[in-house]
Amino acid sequence: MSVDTQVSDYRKYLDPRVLARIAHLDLRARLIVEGLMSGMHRSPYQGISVEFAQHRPYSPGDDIRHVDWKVLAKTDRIYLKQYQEETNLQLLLVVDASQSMTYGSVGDGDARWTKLDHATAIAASLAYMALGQQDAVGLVVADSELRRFLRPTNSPAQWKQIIAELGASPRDRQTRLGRVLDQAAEKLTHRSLIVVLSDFFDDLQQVERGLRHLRHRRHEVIVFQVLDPNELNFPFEDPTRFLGLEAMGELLTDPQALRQSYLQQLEQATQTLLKSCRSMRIDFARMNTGDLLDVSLSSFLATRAATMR
Amino acid sequence: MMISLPTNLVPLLLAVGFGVPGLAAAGVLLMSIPIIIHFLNRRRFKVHQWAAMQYLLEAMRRNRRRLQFEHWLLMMIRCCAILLAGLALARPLGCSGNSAAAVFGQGGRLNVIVIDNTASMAWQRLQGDAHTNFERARELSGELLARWAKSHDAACLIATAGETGAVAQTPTYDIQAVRQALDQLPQRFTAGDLGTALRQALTIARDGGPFPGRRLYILSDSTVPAWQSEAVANELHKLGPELAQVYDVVHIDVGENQMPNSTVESVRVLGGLATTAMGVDLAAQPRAYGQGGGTLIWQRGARVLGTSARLTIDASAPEQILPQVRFDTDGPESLTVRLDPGDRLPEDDAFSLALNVRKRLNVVIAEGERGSSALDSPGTMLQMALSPGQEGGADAGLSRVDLIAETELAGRVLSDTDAILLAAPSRVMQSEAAQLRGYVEAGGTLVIFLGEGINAEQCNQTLLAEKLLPGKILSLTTAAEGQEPFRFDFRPDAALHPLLRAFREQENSGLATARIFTYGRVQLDAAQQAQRVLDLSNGDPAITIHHLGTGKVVFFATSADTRWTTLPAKPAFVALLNEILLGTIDADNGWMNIAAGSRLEVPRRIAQTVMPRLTDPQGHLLSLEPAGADHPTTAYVSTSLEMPGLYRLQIDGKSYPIAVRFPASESNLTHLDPAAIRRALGDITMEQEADRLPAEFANSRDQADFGWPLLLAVLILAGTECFLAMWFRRG
Repeated sequence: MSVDTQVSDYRKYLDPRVLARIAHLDLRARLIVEGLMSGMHRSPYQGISVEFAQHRPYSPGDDIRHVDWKVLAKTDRIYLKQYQEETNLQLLLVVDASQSMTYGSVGDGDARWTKLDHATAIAASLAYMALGQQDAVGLVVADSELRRFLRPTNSPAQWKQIIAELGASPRDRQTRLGRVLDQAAEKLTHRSLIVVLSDFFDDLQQVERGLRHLRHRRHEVIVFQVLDPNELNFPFEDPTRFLGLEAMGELLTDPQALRQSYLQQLEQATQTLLKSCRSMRIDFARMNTGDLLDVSLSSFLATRAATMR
Repeated sequence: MMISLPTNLVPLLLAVGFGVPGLAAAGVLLMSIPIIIHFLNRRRFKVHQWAAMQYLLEAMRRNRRRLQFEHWLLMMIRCCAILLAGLALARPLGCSGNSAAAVFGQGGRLNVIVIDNTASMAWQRLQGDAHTNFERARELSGELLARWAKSHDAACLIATAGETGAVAQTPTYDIQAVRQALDQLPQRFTAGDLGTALRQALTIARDGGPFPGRRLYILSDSTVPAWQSEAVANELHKLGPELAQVYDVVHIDVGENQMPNSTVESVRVLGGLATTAMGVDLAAQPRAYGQGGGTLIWQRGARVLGTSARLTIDASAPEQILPQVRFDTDGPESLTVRLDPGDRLPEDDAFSLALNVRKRLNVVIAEGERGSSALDSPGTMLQMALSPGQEGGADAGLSRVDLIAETELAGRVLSDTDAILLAAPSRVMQSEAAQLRGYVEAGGTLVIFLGEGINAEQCNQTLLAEKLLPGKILSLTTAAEGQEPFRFDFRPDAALHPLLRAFREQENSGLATARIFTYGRVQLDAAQQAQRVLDLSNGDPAITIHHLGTGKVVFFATSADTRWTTLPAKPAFVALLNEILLGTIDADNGWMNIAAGSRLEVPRRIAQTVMPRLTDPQGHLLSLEPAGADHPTTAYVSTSLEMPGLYRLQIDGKSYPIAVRFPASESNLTHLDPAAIRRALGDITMEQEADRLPAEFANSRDQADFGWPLLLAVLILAGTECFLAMWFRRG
């Protein structure tokens, strides 16, 4: 059996429709990370948290992306850069657990894959990878308030606590992410890498203020906007009564007549958020809950690694 | 002030406005479908929980007015499209045949053709492809049908003579079927009934359902019999306005302004019965409508009996007589009188008569009171008069006479008896009177003489009760002594009853001088409709004749012997008796002389066993069918014999001529001008054409065909709806 076949067989478990049937979050995270690793042959986490350690001579088969061209120019010898993992990094995962995150159209019945499922899976995967590198990992579960805060630590017990908190979060509150980010910024004492996972169906000015607060405290921030395929495509055709989550009212309408205008509104909001992020040097990624988790995650991590070099 | 609309305004508008009002109403009703769907859709929707509600609400807020506008615009377009589709299919404003409603196969107007196929239409044309006026009418009708086949109109065909077939008498969109009926429509040689045909057209218009327009085409030769005969004049005058209310009436005249026609209207044997015993006078009635003339040629079979000098004939030409024609043999004979030269209606130029020449008459004399001598015995006097050489029972003379007592009548078989002479009935019983009545009603001739010994009271109770007397015998009147006896009111130069035809101009016949001493005074019963043959000088009837069933009863108020009158001793007595018998005895040739279009009914007494064989004037064999048990006197029945002329019936080696006559009324081809036709129809507004089709109705409402433009509008609306719906969905 070839390696490619093994990889493709494994990746089928990373389909959200499959993951949705796996009840335990820790198992989901392990599957995602293992899938990620087997796909890239080396730790993707390296792109985030490792720093340069030393050079070694090039041998055939090595990835030429790691060739140190400056050394080659000076010495006419080929050396590769090697990185050393940073051990004092703190990773804080901020997960939006408001009611809007419970929306999901992928999968069916009890195995429906919601945005929250997607966000928690990403969060758990990152935590699993970070703890595997002995990094400290913390968690903020957010809705209208900072619902739960686990201070970052690299204790082996932290993994179980994170998994428990992500699985037990209440799902019936409104989003006030800006306020939560403000509260998180006040609680953090060390410079940290903060990963925010939300659909950002919120007051974007408040959100921007919270992000700016974090950047002001010199935290590095990564924003994942998690959206459902229905929210991205609005594929409805028949007359539909839309019942808004988070007490947003209801609307009976012909969806086809509103589709274009809705998508414009969504894109406009996304662009507003993206501009804010760029202005604050915050990495932004939109995650589609219908996509394979490893693909979207590794794509983001690869992009981030490239920009860091 | 209230203004009340006529109650029938709405139906009237619908009837005028739409060919198929139901479709228009359906369009109005179905217009509500988009609205109903709209409301149903508001009740039938999916429910979906939604997270990105703020963006959806914002999109709605920004597009609310546009969406409402689009929504109402689409609904209005859909409603209008359905409404217009209904209106288009309903033939708005009475469209012509090329209407959208034709997609239902019943879009067109109703066209009724009334075609004259009577005998007069056989007038031969000198120009064009059509040989006769009827063929021309059929040609024009065919062209009309071709028009209507293209325009999807309904049509029906009515003939003024005979049947046209069930398909063509009811409106149908199957123009091909009407065309077939037209092609099969025969030229009839009967008189027609335009009134009945037009009445039928009126019924069709009233009962034939809604049509956007109706037209009535009458194709005739505009002759007097069709339009002005007494039988139809009043009917047509009443029908015209009624027809004009429901039809656009068009009359197409296929006749010519001058159609002079001469005819031999009738031929008859003067005196009624042809015998071998004596010569008979033949009479032919020529007539001409317009200037006519020619020579009459008399033929018996193929043999020419005589030829007249050239005659100038008009409408009141006198009867022409061929005297003393003798028949050597008895049996069936035919006489044909032909006018030479013929004209353009040849079917009425000759008249044939089939007759049954008799050699001898079977007469029974039933005597009541026998006198003491021959002169006083009425039976003997009658026997001597009818069969002079038969005294003592010898078989001689015209009649074979059987003298019996009146009491012998009971139970006697009378079927072979041509006439019964009842002389001085004195003891006729009720049963005998009934027997006599049955005999007369079956076609027999009964001659009753009063006389000595009669019982007036009993006669009234028996003979009058059976309608064998012309009226009640009031009394026996006898001239008083010293009083001048009664006489007959006979003037040989005055108008005489046909039975007295032989005594015209006969000064010495004895009728004027015969004396009547006693007679029975009779009060004529109007119900019997008795004709006075000869009166007494005091005005009382002396000789009468009345019909009873198919037979005749001749009544003599006086006696057949010399006790009451001197008439039996006069020379006129023998002639009078023979004239009466010849003029009243059924010649038994009625079945051989029939009108064109009738069916020949062969009597059972003629064809009892052998199947007869019937051929037309050209020798073609015609079919005969057994009449069945329902017809006790008829053995076989033919199909309708349409063509006038002399047919032949062969039965067991014996040949019977069958004369089929042209209807005399149809010979009058006097042509009426358009104004007369209009007057005949009650001065209605109508279109009249001479031997050609009318142009399409230029001013008719039928031209206002809005069906197709409306359908086009529907298509445009449908296309617009599709485009807009697609366009709006993109929004």
